[in-house]
Formats: sequence, structure tokens, C-alpha cells
Amino acid sequence: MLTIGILGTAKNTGKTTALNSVLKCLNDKKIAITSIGFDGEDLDHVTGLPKPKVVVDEGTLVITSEQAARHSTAKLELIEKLSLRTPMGRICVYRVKELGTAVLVGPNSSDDLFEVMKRLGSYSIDVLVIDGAINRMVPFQYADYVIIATGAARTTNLSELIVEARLMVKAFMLPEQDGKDRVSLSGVISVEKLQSYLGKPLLLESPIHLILADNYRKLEEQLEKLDIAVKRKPKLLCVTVNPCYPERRVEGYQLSKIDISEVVDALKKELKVTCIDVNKEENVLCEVLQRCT
Amino acid sequence: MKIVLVPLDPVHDVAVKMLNREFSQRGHQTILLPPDMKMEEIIEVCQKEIPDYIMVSRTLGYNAAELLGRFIDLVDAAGLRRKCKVVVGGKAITKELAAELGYDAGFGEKTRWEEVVAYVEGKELSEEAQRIKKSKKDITQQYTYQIKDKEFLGLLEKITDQIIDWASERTSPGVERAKIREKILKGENLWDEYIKLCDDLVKSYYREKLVPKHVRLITQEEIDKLNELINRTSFAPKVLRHTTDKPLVFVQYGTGCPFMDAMHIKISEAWGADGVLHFDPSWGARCEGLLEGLLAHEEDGSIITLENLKLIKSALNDATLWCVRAHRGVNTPETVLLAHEAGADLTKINMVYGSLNGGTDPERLTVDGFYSIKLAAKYNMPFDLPTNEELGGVPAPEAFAGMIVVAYLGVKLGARPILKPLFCYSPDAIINKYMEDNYVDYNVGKILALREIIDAPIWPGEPIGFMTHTEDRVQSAMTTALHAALGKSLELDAITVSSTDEAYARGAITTSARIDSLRAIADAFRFFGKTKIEPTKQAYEYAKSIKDGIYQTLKKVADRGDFVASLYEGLFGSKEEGANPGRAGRGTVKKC
Repeated sequence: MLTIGILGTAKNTGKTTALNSVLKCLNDKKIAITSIGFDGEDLDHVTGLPKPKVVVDEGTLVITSEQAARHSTAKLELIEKLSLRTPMGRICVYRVKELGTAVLVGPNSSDDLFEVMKRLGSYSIDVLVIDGAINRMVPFQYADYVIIATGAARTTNLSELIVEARLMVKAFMLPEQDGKDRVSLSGVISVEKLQSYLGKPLLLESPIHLILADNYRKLEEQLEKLDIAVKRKPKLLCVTVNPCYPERRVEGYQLSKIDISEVVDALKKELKVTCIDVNKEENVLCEVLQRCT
Repeated sequence: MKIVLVPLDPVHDVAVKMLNREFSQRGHQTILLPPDMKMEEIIEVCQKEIPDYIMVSRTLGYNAAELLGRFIDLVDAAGLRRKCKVVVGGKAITKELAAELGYDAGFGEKTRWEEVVAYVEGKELSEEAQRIKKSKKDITQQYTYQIKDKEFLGLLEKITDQIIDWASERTSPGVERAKIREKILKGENLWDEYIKLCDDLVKSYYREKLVPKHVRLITQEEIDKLNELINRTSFAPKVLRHTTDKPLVFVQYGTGCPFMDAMHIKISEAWGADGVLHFDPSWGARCEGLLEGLLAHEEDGSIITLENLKLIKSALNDATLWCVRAHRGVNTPETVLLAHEAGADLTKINMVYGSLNGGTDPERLTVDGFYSIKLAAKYNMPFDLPTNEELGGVPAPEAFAGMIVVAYLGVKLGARPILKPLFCYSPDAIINKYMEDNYVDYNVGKILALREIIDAPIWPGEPIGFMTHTEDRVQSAMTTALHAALGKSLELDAITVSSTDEAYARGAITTSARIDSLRAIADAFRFFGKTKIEPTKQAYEYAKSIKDGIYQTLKKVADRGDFVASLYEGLFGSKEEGANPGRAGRGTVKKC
């Protein structure tokens, strides 16, 4: 079973849109789906704007909590109750009997997600797709692949957006453990902590532990100087960029759009990574997915 | 439990400090971190302490979701997620957001610390204990109605004896209609007799089904919609007072449309009003006889029919006090009767004001008022006595003399009157410069004077702050709130308040303007708590002169030996002062 996580850099960066595209691209595979947050609600919890729905086809396995399952329009058959709990009840495995929307409230920590992944090993599934939550990423440390969803909702300052996306991509390109004698650092790594290890080869748990730092410009500088490898890492499939963002107005939020091509071009040119506007280039995403599955 | 408390915010840490106080008092081990710490530093502390709970507080809304997402990721990356429960709270938080981010619990705005303590200690906070319970209060209960000054007592006895003797042997079409209606309510068919005693407008409504101009019948479809709307309306009870039991807060309604009234009532209840007053149209007070059915009209005041009143009653919360005013017109006795029949708690009767400033003939209203007070006594409905003739220019002492006469008459007839002096910037006060320096002293003087005369409930209105409001809603809310605070300071039993657009709405008032006033009052009560507003020495001098003025008025009326003649002759306020004996119903009183 392959696991693909969709990691967002903020709310409304297009995680669910990317997720729906992934589901469409993989429609010939046996799929399971879950979320590390809360997915498929009608309205955004902060902006109140309508959100895209997660659409699941017959035969797909849905890993969600009991209450969330009740709010799904897809006909769901209960297969198994897991021991994990969420504020919306126990997490269960359901099979879709009839196409519809699904509300996903799944495991929200690395440990819980890991347990779900282990449990699903006994089902004959080709791909487990895991939707992210806002800007959370640590639970994805055990996934095989990630898709980074970023866009104008993170910041409308395009140069900032490029710096951030570039750093994330670079982190996912760090090599895996190579037998070299390295100083092993576990847990959270701050920019200051890295500074103190200048000149020593380092071994981090995952690229995600690195990009939790909050000063990306400084971190990027350090990446140039340091020799870092990671114990485990999901492979980066592609970066999706969403031009739409909730714009705050006096009367509330409204959905606005900016020209994001500058970011797409910059990432394609500077880093050899597939970068797409997910609204327009679903076919490119499908090609990438075909190659890895 | 071991708890790390984290203000994840540049400055705001009051909430975590309160929790720190509560948790440590209850024997939990707490580590309180300062605001504006780097997240990595917070994680280091947590890694060292391995607490049972990490409690994060966030007030500012900017970027809150992403910031909290990063924090929980750091907790996860540090391997603490299974060791500690992670809880988030604050103004920027909703339960849904906390769940979406993967926190164990989320506490939003208006959370009380008790809820967080109960969560940590694994106790259920009972819904019952959390809910505010409102119940109806009888503000007349604790009063003896004793006249405290013997000289006053003598005068009042003499005046009221004369009224009783005189009125007992008289009747009017108003009194007769009330008697007939009472029998109709018991099942007798006496409509023909009833209609004979009505004016043409009412007669043609019953006989020819001619609906008066601007009046229309409400349809069944509209009634169903209203019932559905009211059933859907639910809200947590709210109390406007902070740490005191008094005063109750009343609002008045009378949009002309019973539906709009019902919704105004629901909104006022939701924002903390304790009671409502039904205002009828002025034409209804001048026209002999009442209509029937569910009726709306495009004029000020809502038409009194039993059906309209019952509809209003169906919209009221159980705890809301309801006063239906009856005080001034030719249908006063019948209005008291229907108010009781519809379930009203209170009514309003004052024949002095009703005949000097309300347009009804003094002789007629004395007969009708006398019978109405007896009905109020029979039905155990306290009645309030407005003194709004002060707004017409009548000096307060004369208006108060009239009020005290009717109040004492009420006591003698077994009823429970409520005094209603105005808290206002009255013409008399303006002309005589009683309020040149402040609005406090003269209003305080009124209350002190009344309290020296009689032990009775006092409920200023209608509304408080009359003539101090302007078109500016902020100003209006402010002046209402300050007058409310004065009422609270004087420990008055109730107040009636206006919406902030009441004086200048040029049509039906708006619900948002009602909320303005109620919110402002709640804050005034919060601000003052149990503290008192201290008047200057002048207040005591005003009290003395008001009491003296009341005495002089009572003495003149007692010496005249004829209450009704005193009304006509200006002893309770002259034409020059602004008291004009009304003409509606003149010449209709008969000896029994």
C-alpha cells in the first residue's frame, strides 16, 4: 500500500481540490482515504466561505469518525471500528456503497496516523490518500509521498511564497541516511539549534522536522552550508499552487484570485519539481501519479 | 495534574493567569509561561516537564489557525502528542477549529474558568447549574403601603373617602361594557347589549363588518408563520443586572402590528428585558367600545382586542412580566378585564394623568378608573401610576399629589399600586433651572420625597431619561444607561427604558435600537455594581420642596372637598401649566 499525503501551507491553499483530483486520477486503483484534520464541511470554520466537497466513489475505503460518517452523503458501510478516538467519535473504516460526499475526521497525530496505516495493511489497498489540516504536516512523516499545496491563501506576497515553497522543496530533496557518521538530532530543530552544529554532518528525523522552523530565509542560507541527511522522508510528488484566496473585507471574507504564474514558473525553473495550478492542469497531476503507482 | 499554561499571543495572558490561580488553588501543579515566547522554547519547557496538559491561549485572530497548526505540529514532532493532552482556548478559538487542528479540546470566547477546570478534573458541569434561571417577581410584595406622615394621611383619607362615596353611586358606558363583557366571557351572549354602548365605528365593525380605516384583519397564514417563527426562536436567558436584585427593566411596545410586537418582545427578552408594556393606539382610548379579532393597523400603538392580547401572550417567555396599560381612555375598565383574561401580570391606571393629559373627561375617567382599580384588586393585578402630565408642563409635586391620591385609593380598594415618577428633563425643571448642573439631584429629590410619604414600590418611567434623548443613538443609549444607573443606585424596583430611536423613529422603532439601550444598561450596571451615585445637598432641598408641594396640593384638593371638581379647576395642574381636562366621554356618567 502506498500512502500519499496532501500537505498544505495554510488554510484554503487547495488541499481538497488536489485531493479530489488525486482521487479522479487514481480511479482505476483500490483507494482508501482519510484526513488528519476536518474535511468536507460546508463552510470554512474561520472565513465562513463555502468549501469544496470530498467526493468518494463506490468501493473506496473511508477512514473517518462516527459522527463525520453520519454527515456524509455517500452511502457508507461500516467495516471496522478502530481504537482511536477524535472529538467526533471513534475512527472507523467504512466502504463506500454509493457515490457521494464524505466528511473526513481522521487520526490527527503522527502516532495515530501510523496506527491507521498499520491497520490498513491487512486490507488489499493500492493507495491511501491522506488529506492535510490547515498547515499541519508532521503526521505526514511516515507517508511515502507528499503533494505540497500552497498558494495565495498562504500569502499574496509572491516572492515570500516562492522562498517558502523553494525551501520546502529543498528540504524534501535532502538525502536519506547514507552510512556516514552523523550527529543525530531528534525532535524539533530551530534555526538557532542548527547554527550551533555548523560544520558537522547532521541526521534529522525527517524533512518535516526541519521545515517546522519559522525563519525560512535564514534556514535556506543554512541549508546551503550544512550537510544534512534524514532518517525517513516522504518523496515529493509535486507542488500545487492555488491562485484563489479568502480576502478580508469590511463585510466579511470573499473569494479573490491573483495571477500566480510567476510562482509556478519560478519553481519549475529553479528546482526541477513538477509545479501545477491544480485548477487547470489535472492531467499533469495524473501523469505524475501514474509514474509512482 | 501538572499543567503548562501558555499565552500563545504577543500580550494577552489574563485568561491563563486566571486558570493558573484556579488550578493552583485546587492543588494542581502549574507552570505559567510569559506571553510572546518562541514556540520552540515552549516545546523545550514541555519536554522538560512532561505535563499532563499543555494549555494554549490565543486572543488575536490574525493567522491563529496557522499558528496553532504549527504549534500542534511542534508538539507532535517533539514526541509529546501522546504524553500530553493539548488544549486551546481564547477569543480566536472555536470548538470546530480546535478539532480541525487536532487539539484534544477547544474553548471559545465567553468560556468560564469553571468549564476548563471541570474538563481537566474530568467532571461534568451540569447544564442546569450553568443556565441562568429567570422567574417572575412581584415588586409590590415587600411594601406595606403605610402613609408615613400623619398630616398626609388625614388629607388622603378625606380625599379618597369623597371619591369612594361619589363614584360608588355612578356608572358609565365604559363600566357597563366591562360588566357585559365579563358576562360574555363567562359564556352569555350579550353582544347586542354590548354593541348598543359603542360608538358608530365599533358598531359598524360588528354589524356591517366594516373594518375601520388603516385597520386590517390578520390572515390565518400569517398567524401560522408567526407561530412557527416564535417556536424557532430560542435563546439563553440573560440578566441585565450585575450584582444587585433591582431594578427590573421594562420596555414598551406598540408598533400597531401584533407580529412586529411579538418579535420586538422576543428580541428584548433575548437581550435581558424583564418585562414589557403594551401600548394601545390613542384613537382606541377615545372611541367607545373595543373591536374583536386579530387586527393590525398602520398607526402608533397596538389595538386592544382579546385575540391580539392572547397572541402577544403566546409569544412571551414564562418569566417575562407583562403590563397592559389601561389608564387613560373610555375603555379603561374593559381593558383591565381583557388584560386579566389574556394573562397579564400588571396594568396601568391613573385617572389624574388620563384626564389631564390623556384626553378623557375627568368625571368619566374617575368613574371608570374607580371601577378599574376594583377590577385590578379583584384580579390581583398590581397597577402602576404614570405621571406623564409632567411632560405637558405640570410641576412634579402636583402630578405626584394626583398619583398619591389614586395610589391611596387603590390601597383602600384592596389593590397594589406602583408609583411611577418620571426620570426626565421636564418643562418645569427646564423653566425653573432645577437641572442646570446635573440630572441627578432633582430626580433623587423626587424619590426621597415619595419615600417620605408612602412605603410603596417605585418604578420610574415612561421611559427614563425622557427629554434627554436626541437623534444620536450613542447619546440616547448613554443617557438611558445613566438614568438606569441612578435608578439602581436608589434601589428602585423597576425602570422602563426606551429604544435609542424611540423619540425620533418617525414610525415604528427598530430592534437594533432596542438592543443599543439594553446593552448600554447592562454595562452601566456592571460599571457601578453596588456603588452609589452621590447627589449634592441640593437633592435634599428639592425633596423637601417637592414634599411640601405635594402637601399643598393635597390640602387644596381636600379643602375643595370634590376630587372631580379639583381636576376641572386645575388643582392638580392648571391649564397655564399644561394640564387640559379631556373631553372624550364628557356627559356620559350616570347615577346608578
